[in-house]
Amino acid sequence: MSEPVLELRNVTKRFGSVTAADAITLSVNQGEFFALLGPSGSGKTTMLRIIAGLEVPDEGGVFINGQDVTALPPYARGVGMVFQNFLLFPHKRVGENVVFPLRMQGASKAEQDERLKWALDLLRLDGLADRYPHQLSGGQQQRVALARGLISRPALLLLDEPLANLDRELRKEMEVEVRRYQVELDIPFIYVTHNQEEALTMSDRIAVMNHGRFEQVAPKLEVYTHPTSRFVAGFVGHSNVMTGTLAAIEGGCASLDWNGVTVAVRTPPGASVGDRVDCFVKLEKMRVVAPGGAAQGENRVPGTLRDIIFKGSTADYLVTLENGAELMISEGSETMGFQRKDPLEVVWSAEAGACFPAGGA
Amino acid sequence: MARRRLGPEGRFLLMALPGAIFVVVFLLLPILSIIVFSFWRTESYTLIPDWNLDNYATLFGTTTYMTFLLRSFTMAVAVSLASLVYAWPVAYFIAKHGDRYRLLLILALAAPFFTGIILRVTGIQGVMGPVGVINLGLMNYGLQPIEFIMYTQTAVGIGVTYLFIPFMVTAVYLSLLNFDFELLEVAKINGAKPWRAFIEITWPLNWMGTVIGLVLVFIPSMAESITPRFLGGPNAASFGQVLGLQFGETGTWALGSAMGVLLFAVSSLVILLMWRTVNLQRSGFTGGGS
Ligand SMILES: Nc1ncnc2c1ncn2[C@@H]1O[C@H](COP(=O)(O)OP(=O)(O)OP(=O)(O)O)[C@@H](O)[C@H]1O
Ligand SMILES: [Mg+2]
Repeated sequence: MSEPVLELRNVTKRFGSVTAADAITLSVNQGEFFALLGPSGSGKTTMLRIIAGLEVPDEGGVFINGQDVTALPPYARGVGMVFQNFLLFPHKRVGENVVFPLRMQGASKAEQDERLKWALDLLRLDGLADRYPHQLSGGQQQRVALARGLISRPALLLLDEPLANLDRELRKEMEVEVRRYQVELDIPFIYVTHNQEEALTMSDRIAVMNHGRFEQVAPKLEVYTHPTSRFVAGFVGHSNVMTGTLAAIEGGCASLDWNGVTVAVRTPPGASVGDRVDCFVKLEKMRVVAPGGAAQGENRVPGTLRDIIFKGSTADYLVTLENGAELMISEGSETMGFQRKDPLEVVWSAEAGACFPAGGA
Repeated sequence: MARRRLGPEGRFLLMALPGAIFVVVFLLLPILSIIVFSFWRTESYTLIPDWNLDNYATLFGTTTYMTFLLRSFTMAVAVSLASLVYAWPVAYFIAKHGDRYRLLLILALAAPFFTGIILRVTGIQGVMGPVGVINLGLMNYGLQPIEFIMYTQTAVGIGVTYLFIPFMVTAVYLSLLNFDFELLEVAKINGAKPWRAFIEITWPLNWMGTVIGLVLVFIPSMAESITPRFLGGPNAASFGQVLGLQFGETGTWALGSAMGVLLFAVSSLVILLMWRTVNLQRSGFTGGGS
């Protein structure tokens, strides 16, 4: 297998008492779309700034194409970066903004012109080259920022929440676009976001960050379906959380006493009877059926329908159980004609649950 | 009885009035009267409304007056450039690293103003004069005192620069306050070395503030009369000094007025030329449509 484009070895960065990057080790390969997902303050931007050379790590090394760049200044790293607030040069026209990296490299005028045309074509900015940034819409500004980041064929492109300032419609559109550029250029994109949908839509692999640490680094499907930590299970996707005590363990299967309801779960690694655990089940992994109705799953809990939240293609069913707890289940909206207060049953399989030692009090 | 309410025009006038009155009373009227006087003549300390061009003929026809003007002009240019070179790093440092002490640092720079101009100038004398701190220090270590500083053009230049440099620092500082330093990081990621980033980004985006600073230093330097009186020798008399004489000892107010008009004209020309270098788009000024 070929050498990774980017490698972080044991990178640590502290700001006073805050550890913004805690012994981070990572490699990103050619052509990979890598998302850094995490809540605010988890250290995503710091990670990008370390890769770009704007921040020097306290410990560890940064390698680009096998070369140790830890001590290199940003202008010698050959990395492109796109920012949330665009940060276009306000006194330069679009064309001048976009060719700026090439000019700094001392590229010939002919090459500048050729690449500029390529970049403007790629990002559909034809005809805007002579405008000033403030004469552009937000989406156009973001595309100019992308063009500037891509024009000099960087080894990799860093993107720090590049779509966060765009409205929803435009964001959806740009998500697809950005992914298209990445595939076309075949360079790694490292994409920071705190929006899990964005990460799930666009990326190949996701690193979930929390407190300067990687909670899980895996292909996106795996992060979604097999979270390896309580934090990831809670942060990615929408889940019902059932907190209870392990009543019995039989090999891979265990039963959880959840406020009087017995729930079949997968045995959390290293757990023993009597442990308190949180069991996460994604909303769409549960079904609602009429009492006695057909559905696959070891768990079948009776309850009453409290409300239906219509969401368009799906609907969320709020079900109150006999133990007083409430579950939310996401179903296709066209199914079944349940009414409020109807008795029904919630069904799910033990496999669907991810259990971790209970957090907090 | 219905109370009359002001329409939008009325309110606009009301708000614009104080500023307008100020400009008319303290700027336009004095200048107009000086322009008028410059075409009159003075006889035994009295202005006589006898329209003529003699004052201007005298001004432009006498080499000494032109020498004074040229000297003051050169001085003002030199002083502006010197304060530019000195003020930029100071302002940059305060804006970038001053944090919450910024205001305090700027005030500290303006502190000499608290003492009044005469004290400031004589203070300089105390530092640079023949028996000033510098020379005393040099002699203390058995070195030759520097003789060329005091009572020369150089002394005046240093004095005037010292006098007006806070204007320059403040103008550049205010400009830098509005400057997004993140743009420099962007430039560096995109391959610009620090000096290149300065030339490409920092300088053009702060050019307007720099021009304002240059003008604020140039104009009073050009008219300076007190510093040359104290620090300059007999060969360093400035245009402003001679202008002052016309309204004092010699009592030739009409000629003085003509000199004032000339000074005003030169200053206005300089402001105009400087302003033409400011391209609002190229300064990153984003308020002005296309
Ligand atoms: N220059 C700095 N000085 C001090 N602390 C800093 C600095 N930069 C970041 N931090 C701290 O490091 C932590 C991580 O910050 P970072 O900006 O990387 O978070 P983030 O994941 O990008 O958050 P967000 O989603 O809000 O942008 C935060 O606690 C922040 O306060
Ligand atoms: Mg951030």
